[in-house]
Amino acid sequence: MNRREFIKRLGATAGIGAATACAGTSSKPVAGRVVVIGAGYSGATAAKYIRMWAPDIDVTLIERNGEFISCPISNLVLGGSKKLADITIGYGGLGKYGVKMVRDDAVAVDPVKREVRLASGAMLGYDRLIIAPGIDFNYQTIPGLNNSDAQSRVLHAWKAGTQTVALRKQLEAMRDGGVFAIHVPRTPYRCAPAPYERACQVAFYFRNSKPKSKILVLDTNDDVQSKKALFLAAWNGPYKGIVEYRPNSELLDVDANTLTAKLEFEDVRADVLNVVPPQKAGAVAERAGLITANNRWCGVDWLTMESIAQQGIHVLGDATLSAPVMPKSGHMANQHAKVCAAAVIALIKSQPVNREPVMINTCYSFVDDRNAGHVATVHVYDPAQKMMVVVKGSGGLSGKANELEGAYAMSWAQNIWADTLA
Amino acid sequence: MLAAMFLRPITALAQDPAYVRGMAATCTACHGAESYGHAGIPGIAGRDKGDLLQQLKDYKSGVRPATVMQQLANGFSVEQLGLIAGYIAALKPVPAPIGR
Repeated sequence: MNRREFIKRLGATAGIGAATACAGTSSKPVAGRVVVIGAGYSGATAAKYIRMWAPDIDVTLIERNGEFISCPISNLVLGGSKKLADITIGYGGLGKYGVKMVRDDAVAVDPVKREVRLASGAMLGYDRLIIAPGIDFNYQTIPGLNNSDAQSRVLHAWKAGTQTVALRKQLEAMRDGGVFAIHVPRTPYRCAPAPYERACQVAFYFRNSKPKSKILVLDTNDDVQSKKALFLAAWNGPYKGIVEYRPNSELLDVDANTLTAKLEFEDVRADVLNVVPPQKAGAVAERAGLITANNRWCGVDWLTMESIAQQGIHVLGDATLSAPVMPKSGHMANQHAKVCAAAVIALIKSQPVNREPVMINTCYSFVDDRNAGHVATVHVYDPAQKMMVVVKGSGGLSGKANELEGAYAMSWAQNIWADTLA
Repeated sequence: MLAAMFLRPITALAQDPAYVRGMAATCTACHGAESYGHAGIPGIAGRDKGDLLQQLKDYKSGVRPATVMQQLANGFSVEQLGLIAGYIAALKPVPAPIGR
């Protein structure tokens, strides 16, 4: 069956109502149909785990990209110790779980009819929809960046892929003695430590290849947002004189022609300017009516990850309105997915939902090609607040990056990629 | 309040396979698909339950030094660690190919 036939068949079965759901190819009765939009860290994991734990549930996973490209480790591509191929993985491994993979774009969701419309025109019916849309950027607050030409000069590289490679090329083309400036948006944004890790990775590259060059970290926030001790140790240690950190640097606008960041009290001109724009839930979340907080994020019931705005639709990963101290990380997205998978199975089968979900986060940052440090937390559900809260006494940080944790971090990446996709 | 949550008997929850399965699933992000890990972070699927639990307790008490594991073990009660160890010990350590 080729892709066209596959989509046609999906389209043909999509009109069938929930009560008479049918898998199309299997003779066994199907307990229910789940559609997952987005095959990143949370969406792919949810699809796999539903099939692993409940093979009688039909799961279709919609993804616009042909391959998974990991944001974690992608800063090392900028540092030069990894290539994009090292962080790129195919979706083939999900086939053995019976996840039906469809390469397409979900353009509309009808929460009443419980249907998803794809760019190809196919309609998919669902009993439960899981939306894992990642983030999109909000350029409205940066007028000079609110056009595609400017965005091609001043990159974000905040979704791993072509922009990661393009930013690396800009850095390679930069003269020695030049300035790389990265602007950090107000928290919350995807992966709190990543801007500071990026500064370290570029510093690692400059120190070895362009030693007269400088790095400016222009941070909207009043301080380093994660792993402060670890990053300060790097900036005041091996990268002393290379990295300069400037807090309270709110971005008013950008001049993409002169690569100038216009801050409140100064204009900063760079040779390579990297603006991480303010972020919000991926566009399909907005189209499905899932945005509930600050016009940006999707509020969820933490027992099920079901949207608080739309019944039958679950939201995962960076797009959610994060619980206190809960990072927007790939690891956290993985944990959202497993709680959601269990809840979706229970809801479809009219079984009780687990009232005491647990999520953990372990997030590594590299300061060069081999030394890394971590932040870890354990989160449990507090029924009084209806919220995930950090278990008192759990979690912690590395004081300083080290080689042992660098090895663990690389192993972590291999293992979570396997947990997600293999 | 959190302390109260963990003081509550978990006997009833221990009978709930989804509860135990969910806790064990928190491990696999680092320890690999179905806890069959790769390289530095070891696979744990199918290991002896007593050994697993003793290691987790040693992390929790600080007897065994660690980078991350003590900080994570501190997020669970000894009873919960026992349930996790039991679940993981019962898994078959099937080799799974890494994703690429």
